[in-house]
Amino acid sequence: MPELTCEEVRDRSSEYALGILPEAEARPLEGHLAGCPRCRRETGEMVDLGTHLLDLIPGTEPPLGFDRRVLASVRSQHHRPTRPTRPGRHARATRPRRTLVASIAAAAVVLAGTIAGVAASSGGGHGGTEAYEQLTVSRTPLYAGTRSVGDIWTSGRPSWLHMTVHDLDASGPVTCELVGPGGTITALGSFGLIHGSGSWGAPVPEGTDDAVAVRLVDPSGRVVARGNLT
Amino acid sequence: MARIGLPADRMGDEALLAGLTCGGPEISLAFVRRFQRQVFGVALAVVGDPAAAEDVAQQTFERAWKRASTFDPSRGTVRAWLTRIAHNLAIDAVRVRKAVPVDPTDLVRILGPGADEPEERFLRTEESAELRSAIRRLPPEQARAVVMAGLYGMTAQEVADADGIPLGTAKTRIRVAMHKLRDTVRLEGVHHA
Repeated sequence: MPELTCEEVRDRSSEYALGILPEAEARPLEGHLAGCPRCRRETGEMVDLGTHLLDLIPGTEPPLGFDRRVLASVRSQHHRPTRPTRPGRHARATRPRRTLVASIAAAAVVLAGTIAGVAASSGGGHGGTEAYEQLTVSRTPLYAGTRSVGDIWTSGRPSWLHMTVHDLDASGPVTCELVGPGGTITALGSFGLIHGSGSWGAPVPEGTDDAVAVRLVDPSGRVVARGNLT
Repeated sequence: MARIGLPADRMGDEALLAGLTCGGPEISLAFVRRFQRQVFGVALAVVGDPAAAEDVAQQTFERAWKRASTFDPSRGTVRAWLTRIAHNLAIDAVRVRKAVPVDPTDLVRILGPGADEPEERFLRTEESAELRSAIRRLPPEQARAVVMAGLYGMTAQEVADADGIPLGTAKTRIRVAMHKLRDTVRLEGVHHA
């Protein structure tokens, strides 16, 4: 298949960004993007625009108890080795019938106008009408030397720990370790950093809840970040 | 190096996501409650039926919960990531059901101004207003094409079939509309490169 020109990519980038470009056309376009920074940047802008379009959809409060049902569902699935797949959940390739398309098209007329006329909603806030459980978490700064590179979040003494990392001068796998009061080291687990950023968490094993510090160690054993819990 | 005690609902989006699979139920609940309006709103706007939308929204959180470790903050926000998941699942649901997803009358209700809250307007209107205004300035056939493609995931061929226009015309409407909107957000600085 001949390579696409920049002009041909520009013609297709809107459909690609909206996820509606047929696979057979998307593949050569991606091939072009891999070697063309300018088209990659421009297509990236289109992808961002597609996300902004979705942002215009106002938030709507779900039915009462939705949050609890979600929680019950994910927790039950967590203890289940496999979960049943809902029919057609990944059937994106299925084409809608013409009646469906026609109905959507009719709705789109209204939506195009309505999206332009209503204020957006963030979906932020807490929603729901039930009382909010007050869990107090502790935030501990994570440092690389003297530079703040993220936060460590803990609860209990701690019973769990998770962290967010930004702008760390390291990429690839790092291991999170707990430092005990006597200097004992307990590896909690590993996760990957992409361009110096990432987030991760794990329960804290019993017997290590008196940890005094958390540190991130790269594969060579170098401590790349540290946060003091006391 | 002082530790700061905070209610869980004050945690950042990424911290909540990181805690989703390992934290207590309060963390999971805080995560769901923070994003459920947006997720359910997207699902409802696409599928049109509250029960189906709830199913889609629930699947969205289940998927987020499973894939939390794959979230890449360099590629966007947690909110955008969740919105994309919800949108893709909603489109799948509509296609599988092969049913009328949205009645125009319902759509007006779903997208009506009653869905907004003052603090949300404060947080997001500035960013969204320009884009909304730009959509309003589009010729109706272009606005319609970009909404069909962008919101409902309809291909150019489906847009062409729906409007009884040649495929090339449908592609042009989508492309021209997207370029106009892109130029607007560039000018207004909505796009954060």
